[in-house]
Amino acid sequence: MSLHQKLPASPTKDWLLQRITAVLLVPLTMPLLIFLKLCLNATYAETMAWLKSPWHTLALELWLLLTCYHAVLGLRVVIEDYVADEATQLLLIKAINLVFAFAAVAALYFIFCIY
Amino acid sequence: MSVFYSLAQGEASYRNFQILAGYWLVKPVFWGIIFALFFHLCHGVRHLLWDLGKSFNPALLNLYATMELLCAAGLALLTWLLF
Repeated sequence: MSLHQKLPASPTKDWLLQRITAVLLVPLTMPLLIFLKLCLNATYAETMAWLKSPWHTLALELWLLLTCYHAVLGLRVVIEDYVADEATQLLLIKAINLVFAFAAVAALYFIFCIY
Repeated sequence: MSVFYSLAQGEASYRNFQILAGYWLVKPVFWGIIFALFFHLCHGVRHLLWDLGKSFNPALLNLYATMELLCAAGLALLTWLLF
């Protein structure tokens, strides 16, 4: 039995989504860097003022979700390629899904708390 | 996540975050992450080229590998200058 029959998503679709998220993330690097620059140097009021602009919030939230999904897909490929045991493979993939889902939800929650 | 958390917790926690981020041992880690981000980005662009079926001969592979490293270093340096 092929391994992929046990996994819910289609590998071809995953491959395509990996590319789509990659391309979308390239321009989103810019708002991320601006945000990090503010966090390291600016005052609380300045950073909050920047963050409260809807486009900036949207860009960061999009970056967050796309990065988590991109990471899940990428790590899944690494696990599939380098972990020989299929049971361990499935367990690791599920663990990674959970970790990134938690990270994304927690970060989004904190962003909503800012408002 | 921790950055958003410290922002959501208010001004005092934001300042604590900045103190931590300003610690000398944290700075090389931060810039390492920035370089890794750009290297990942540059290599990803190369993967997209490969997906198009281009640049598979050995000479180009070596050339692009060097270009990729230089671009990543250049972008990280540019970010450092603008920070």
